[in-house]
Amino acid sequence: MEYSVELEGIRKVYGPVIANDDISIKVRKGSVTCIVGENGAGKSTLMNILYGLEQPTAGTIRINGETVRFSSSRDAIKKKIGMVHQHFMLVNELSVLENVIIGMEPRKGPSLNYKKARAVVSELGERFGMQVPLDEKAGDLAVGIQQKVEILKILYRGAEILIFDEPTAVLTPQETRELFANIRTLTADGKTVLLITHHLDEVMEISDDIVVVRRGKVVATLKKEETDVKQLAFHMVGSALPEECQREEKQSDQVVLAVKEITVAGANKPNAVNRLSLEVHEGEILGVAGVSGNGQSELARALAGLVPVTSGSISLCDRDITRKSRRARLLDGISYIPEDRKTDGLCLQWSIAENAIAGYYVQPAYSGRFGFINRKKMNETAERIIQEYDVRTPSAAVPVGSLSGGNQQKVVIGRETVVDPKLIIAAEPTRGVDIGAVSFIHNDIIALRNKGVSVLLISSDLDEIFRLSDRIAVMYNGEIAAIVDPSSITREELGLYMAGAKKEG
Amino acid sequence: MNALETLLETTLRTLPPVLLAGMGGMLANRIGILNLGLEGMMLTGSFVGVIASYYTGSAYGALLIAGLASALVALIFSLFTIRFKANPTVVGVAVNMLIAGLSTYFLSVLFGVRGSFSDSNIVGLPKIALPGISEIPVLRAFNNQNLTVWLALLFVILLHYVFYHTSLGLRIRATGQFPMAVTTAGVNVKALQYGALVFGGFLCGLGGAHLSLGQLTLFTEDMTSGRGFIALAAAIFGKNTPVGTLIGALLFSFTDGVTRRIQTSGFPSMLIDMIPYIVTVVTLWIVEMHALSRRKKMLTGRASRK
Repeated sequence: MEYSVELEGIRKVYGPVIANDDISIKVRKGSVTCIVGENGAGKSTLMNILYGLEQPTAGTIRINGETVRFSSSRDAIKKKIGMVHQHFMLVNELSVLENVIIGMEPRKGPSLNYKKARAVVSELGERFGMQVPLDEKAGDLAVGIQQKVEILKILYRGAEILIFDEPTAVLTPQETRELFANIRTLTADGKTVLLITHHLDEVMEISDDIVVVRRGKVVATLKKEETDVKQLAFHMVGSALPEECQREEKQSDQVVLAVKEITVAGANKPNAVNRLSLEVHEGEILGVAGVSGNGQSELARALAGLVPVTSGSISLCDRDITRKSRRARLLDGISYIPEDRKTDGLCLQWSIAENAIAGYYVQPAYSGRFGFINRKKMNETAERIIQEYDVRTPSAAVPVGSLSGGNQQKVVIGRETVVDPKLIIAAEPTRGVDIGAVSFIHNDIIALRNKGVSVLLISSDLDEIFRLSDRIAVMYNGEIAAIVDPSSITREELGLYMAGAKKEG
Repeated sequence: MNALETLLETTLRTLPPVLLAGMGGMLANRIGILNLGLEGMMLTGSFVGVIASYYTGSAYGALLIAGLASALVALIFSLFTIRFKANPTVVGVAVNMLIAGLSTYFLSVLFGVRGSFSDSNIVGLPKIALPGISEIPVLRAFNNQNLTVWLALLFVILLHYVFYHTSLGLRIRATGQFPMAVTTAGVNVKALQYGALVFGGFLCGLGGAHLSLGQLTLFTEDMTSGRGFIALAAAIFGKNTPVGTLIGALLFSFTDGVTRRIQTSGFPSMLIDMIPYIVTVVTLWIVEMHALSRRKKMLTGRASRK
């Protein structure tokens, strides 16, 4: 058997943290090998080592049987390894052609030979079925096309071994399918693909071999034919997932949140949300799907009361709250789970206890008569959250920043739900959270719904949308492209709405 | 020569300091590091130029040494900002203060004078006579201009070529926008940044030497009097392109020329001295406003297109 990549006994230690612990992987030439594992399992570190961005503490790397030592990514590029980063490495202001050739420009005398560059790159695009507009600015392209530019960029560098870091995170289902087709073209050409992901369905679709990583160790090396999603999840988490919480029949048609024709300005767009209307009923989960950046963040922030609407109205249980502040809405019973827990959801240096009432300290229960915080009450709430939400921590006094991502998120969700809200705005509630915590959080959201709480779930993860939503609203370019019933729509159809290729009415 | 030609002649004469330092500032902006030390680097050129001219008696040698001395200051600036990751604004201001102090100090140590230094041993920069054009209207303003005027214009062409027709230029243009992208493409970004800053410093030095050896042959304390900052404004005005910077520099030295003309007509000179700086502030304001409205239009335009 011919191996393109052999990693043997790779170990990487950062101070007290062992990111990679004696990892050995063999990758067959011309195969697609998926490295799966939860966030923080060490798969990105491993790929960074293979790409020369980091140096291993111990262990050897062999490329096509030859032992190599990389001190920078330049060494890896020389050995024909290329990486498509999760966050694209494209210069928005430069043309596609310039982005592809930068660092390895063909020359003619002292000048850059644009003519030759154009010929080489378009030939490459044709050969691998990835036509891209060479003269457009990279920043003006759709995400799926930008990714193709990234792939062309590393092919142009002569890559034979391609590493993809979470390539589908930003794509619509159609774009994902196209990417997988491109990957197949590459392996048919004899190239070797390493793909990092935590979407198990995708793993089963694209991979030949699967390596499961947990806590820095390889816990399973499998052939695709020998395994299934359930078994992979078991390996990833190390235990069986909790039972799924069942949803009860919906009992009410009472409107809790009514949004009428609101327009919200974004950072560089006056109508990031554009005359959008929607309603959320009592005891209902309304899922807002869409490719991120289509106004979901602005919608969430406007409903929470963090940014003003430029027009339109918002009402909660028939009372107008359009002009109310975040604090007033919080006291009215609108909870908010922000999409970025590290910047908006938590104060990382503070203890769990302090974070447990952050924002809610204005409630009379916590603020005493002279404005002092009732620490006893605060600690009680913190303990309750730790108990009920299964936060893994030595005590409520430790800084919340020392917890894992999943446990941090549980603190946020605990804080926002112990207060018995009427409405929860949950933006990307499971982003960057391990799948054990994901199923816990999903169960919690369904349980809240069963209790009659309304939930506006904003998520770019379609699995999550389908799993939780009673109704799905698809957002595209600041507007609702469609409101659909999850039981009567396919992912592909939803993808068309998400990509703006289809619109309701 | 008529009034227009005289004005053009003065504009060209005062162009090199702002244009050369402007290109230094532009290079720094392009690789993503704000260089507020242009002023100090230019002052280094003025001071070292005069000293070198005094001791060597060679104008060309003095010009070269002035450029190298400023390049050295720029190297120190880059070491602090790139290697030690110090805040460029602070380092830039520190460079300006350091050079202002050092030049005063060495003036008194070497020559025992305060304020200014002039000596008959100092050789000024040569003027280029173009006998062919001395009779042609307008163009004759180019006759008998300093060597540095031509050097500065030559560097505009050179940098324009490098920026848009070479791989080095492509890398420089990309670095300021997204250095990580350039690094992952296998380019040594730090070397690029050092190179751009040090070469920019060299240009500042030439500009500074023009101040002290071009028209008069004398050094006075703080003789750059804010031209480094005006140069930076010219670069920003020119959207950090070589030709744009040239236009910006022309605008400012034109104002400078006009100001000097008015000065001779009896207005209070302090008020008139303010004019170039006011023009700087106002133009930058207009440029920003223009960019802002264009960005807005582009965004709404793009939104409605979809």
